[in-house]
Amino acid sequence: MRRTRQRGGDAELIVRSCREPVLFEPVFEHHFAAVYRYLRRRVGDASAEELAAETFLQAFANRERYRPHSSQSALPWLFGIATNLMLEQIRRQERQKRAYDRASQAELPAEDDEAGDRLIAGEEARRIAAVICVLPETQRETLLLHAWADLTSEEIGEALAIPAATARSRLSRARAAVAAALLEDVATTDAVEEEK
Amino acid sequence: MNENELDGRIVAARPSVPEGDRTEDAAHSRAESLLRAEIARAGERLSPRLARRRRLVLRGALAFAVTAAAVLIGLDLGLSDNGSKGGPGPAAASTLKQFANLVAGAPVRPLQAGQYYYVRTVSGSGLSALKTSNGGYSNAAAEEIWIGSDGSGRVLAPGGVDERYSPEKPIPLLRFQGVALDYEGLLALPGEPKALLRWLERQTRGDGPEAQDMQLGMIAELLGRAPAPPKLRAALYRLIDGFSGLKAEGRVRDPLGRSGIGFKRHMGGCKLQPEATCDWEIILDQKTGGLLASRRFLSNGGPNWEATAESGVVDSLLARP
Repeated sequence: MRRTRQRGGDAELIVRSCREPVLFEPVFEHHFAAVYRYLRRRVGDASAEELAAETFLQAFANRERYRPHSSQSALPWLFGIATNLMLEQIRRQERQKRAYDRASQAELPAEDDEAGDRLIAGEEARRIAAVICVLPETQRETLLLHAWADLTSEEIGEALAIPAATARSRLSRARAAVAAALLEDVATTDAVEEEK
Repeated sequence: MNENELDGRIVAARPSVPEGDRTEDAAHSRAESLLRAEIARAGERLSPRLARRRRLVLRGALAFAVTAAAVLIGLDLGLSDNGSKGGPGPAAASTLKQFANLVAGAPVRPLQAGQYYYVRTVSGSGLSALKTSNGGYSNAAAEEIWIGSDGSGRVLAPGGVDERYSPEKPIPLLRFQGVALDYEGLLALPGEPKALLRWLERQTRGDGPEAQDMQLGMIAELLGRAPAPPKLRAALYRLIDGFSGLKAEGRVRDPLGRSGIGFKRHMGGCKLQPEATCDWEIILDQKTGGLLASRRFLSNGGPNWEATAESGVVDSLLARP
């Protein structure tokens, strides 16, 4: 199911962009769509626009700290920045919500609910979304970077600054949780069918 | 169900988003123009001609600074140290103590009936705020808060959300789950660092490894958003002074471009990012001792920050200083 994507050459461009900043532009052109689409799936149009722009601004500001990994692609690094920005935004929104909604009764939309609502590709998709929403944060980010952003375990490791083995084990735990939930649903459906 | 089949089903659950539609084009254009502006600025900074000119200017400025340093009183600017385990580095400690003394000496002026403490904060991500042509920010949002002595108040939040508070439902001074601190509670907070730390620890009990990050966040909010009396403000600086591994950074620019004195502390873990390390920073105003901004730097991402843009006492929920 993995899609092909133009990669490579980023490391050299980023290193050279420290002296010639304009060389960062191709990095933006190569990767903007992937980062934006991932964020769009996670947080919706308005936030995705803001977060995607900020991801590239931060990447540019921190380009001297970029350390190329085996893939030589900047994409895992960019997804790492995007993920952090997204989590920080959610954290800010949740703090604000917790502090104020007691008095105002106003409900800010939670990221998980929105993500769940956007998953409208059928009943199974909804079931999978429900499981993903209740996964621990670290497992959820790992699974979604794999399933929605096509990153390998090594790349997820780069993105989240964790060893690839940790990414693999989180992925495995997340998969197990999803599989268990799907099997449970099948069992329930079978039982209902039998009763009929 | 094998791994590939399961992965296929998870991928199939991915929400479909249109590719290359108008929304994406608009997002691309906006991001591109912001990035190009940054690239142009960076290019200017790197231009050899400009760099030479800057070096000459700096040489002149350095001569001036050496002279000025001799007459600077009050705060020790011989900063920048490596910190140490078990307490801040000597320069950080002495400077923070001086900040504590500076704010402790400020006149005590509790809010009177009908008065409101007004504060405008700007929070965002990235190293600094990027202004747009319409006076807003592309990477930050401003919030205005009015705090009355009886618990009444108002919050004008981003997106035009206008919340009103009354003595019956007082305005919360800290935005942390389960921490209900109103103006009366603020005045009752201990003015002694150890007691203050115990209070913070009580608020963050059960937060595990995230507790310290939460405590530092609360300290920043007390300093940056709340009408903390001078004694409390001084106690907060003395409390920070006691934290291990605090480093003085010397003169730094806050996200709004203002010059201040920075202090940074490295933390092994931070909220929502158990694998990342995190640096927490506060930037203080050398003249008033007030908090200009606080920033958090994640090891695997960029910084996020909150700056206190403006504050003062006003006579109504509609007035600004």
